[in-house]
Amino acid sequence: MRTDRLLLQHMPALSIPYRFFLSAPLFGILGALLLLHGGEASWTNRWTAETLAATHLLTLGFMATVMVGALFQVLPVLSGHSVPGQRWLAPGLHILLAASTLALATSFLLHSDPWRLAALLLLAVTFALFLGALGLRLVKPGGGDSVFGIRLAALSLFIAVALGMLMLWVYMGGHTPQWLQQSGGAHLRFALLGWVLLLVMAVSYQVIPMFHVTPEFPKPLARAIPACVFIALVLLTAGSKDRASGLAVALLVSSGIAYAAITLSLFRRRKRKLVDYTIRFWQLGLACLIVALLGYGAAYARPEWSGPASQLQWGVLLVVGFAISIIIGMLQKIAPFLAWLHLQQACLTQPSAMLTLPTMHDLLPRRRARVQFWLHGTSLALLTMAPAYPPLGLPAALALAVDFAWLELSLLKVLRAYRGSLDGINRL
Amino acid sequence: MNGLHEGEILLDASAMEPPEPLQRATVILQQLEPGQYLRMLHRRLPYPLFDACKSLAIDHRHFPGRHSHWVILFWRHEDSATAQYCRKLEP
Repeated sequence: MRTDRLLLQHMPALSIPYRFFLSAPLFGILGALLLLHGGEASWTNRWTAETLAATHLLTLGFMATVMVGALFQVLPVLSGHSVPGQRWLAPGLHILLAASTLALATSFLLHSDPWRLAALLLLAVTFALFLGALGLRLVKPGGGDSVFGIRLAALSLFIAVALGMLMLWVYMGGHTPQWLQQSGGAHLRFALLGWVLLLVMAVSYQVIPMFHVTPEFPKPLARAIPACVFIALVLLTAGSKDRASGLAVALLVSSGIAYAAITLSLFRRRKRKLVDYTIRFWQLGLACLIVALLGYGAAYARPEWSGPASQLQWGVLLVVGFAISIIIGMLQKIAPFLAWLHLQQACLTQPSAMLTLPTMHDLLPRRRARVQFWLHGTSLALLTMAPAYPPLGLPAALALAVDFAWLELSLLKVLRAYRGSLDGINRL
Repeated sequence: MNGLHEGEILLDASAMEPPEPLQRATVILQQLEPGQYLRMLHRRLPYPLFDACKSLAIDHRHFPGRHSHWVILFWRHEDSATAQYCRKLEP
């Protein structure tokens, strides 16, 4: 891995990832407001219009938007090449992803075929462009353990998007084979346990040792665990409910828990144990992953335990507890770090300005990250309880909206501090 | 040639989180006097710092360390005596 060497040679302009980071929390706020509008009914099962729309505003609008933006930053560093055409592709994909997310959410809310068709077409164009550009980089041989994981994550995304589009087609009355009409579970598994979990794994192999000075993830397991997760997902989709699928669930649950447990142990073994809210977010996210996977295994073994409320709780733990916790935590570190790195590069022509560079905490004060952690923890606790006690849905949705609003303000603060420092450097 | 040199400034960055090594080294390099050099211990090669060295007129060399992954030496470009000393230092 030649991370450091490639970091600056191929580092895209700050505006490329940052446009995604800045717009993502707005979708989170919109999702929270929809849950607020849906009231207690949103918490009765996962198929209500508001729940489906809010879920996709969180997964596509927030999670996928940040992940796509981050891949524009990370992939050149890992693979050694920029994403082809990133200067036009990034703004184009950003608009397309936003438009597809809004069209999909509207189609759920209005039960409208024209909106479903619009969402279908927009999603097809968006992901064909994104996966095409990503695929051009990923098909090249080589790359480390992270690139291996990103390949499996991209494959999972392709399957999840294709199954999701088929489901939209079925909603529109389109004809599909019987076995494909029951693909909701597979869509959800490939999206959350494939694309999201595998991408988090792949990125964590790089960012955790680099940012938090921990030991590296054990080399023999860095590829084995993502491979086991992907194989389990394929077996679960291909097989019927028999012994093979039981083994696939066991493989999926044990691989995911092994990843989470090893990563948590890496944090315990870091050299300097300073208080760091990004690490707290990681610990919260990984703990939620463990609980969600245990719940998934238990629901498979004892289907009578799995009701609408526990299915919603499983979704909350995976989406808000695992994925969104880790994404928010990483943004607390990555946003000021990228801003600082671009400022440092701007100083190369003004060496005297290097002494005036702000610190990471000047760009994003630790206090803001601490408040973010407690806001997120509060909204997660309320959201997890709401399916069992729907009156909690109102404060839960409000807390989630505040959580995302605080994130948006933090990201804007970093941008303002960056622009102020850049002006200062240019004036010297 | 591994004895302690009076002009040596030691920066052990092996347990520092980014961008602290870069921040601290940049401050030291800007204030480096003739006869002084910076010995930096790091777990990675700090390429962003190497880029900054070009504009600061600082030369550098690196080799694998015994107690850290990398040892990186920095000295002023025009300081030929220190340059000669640093180039003779053994890994």
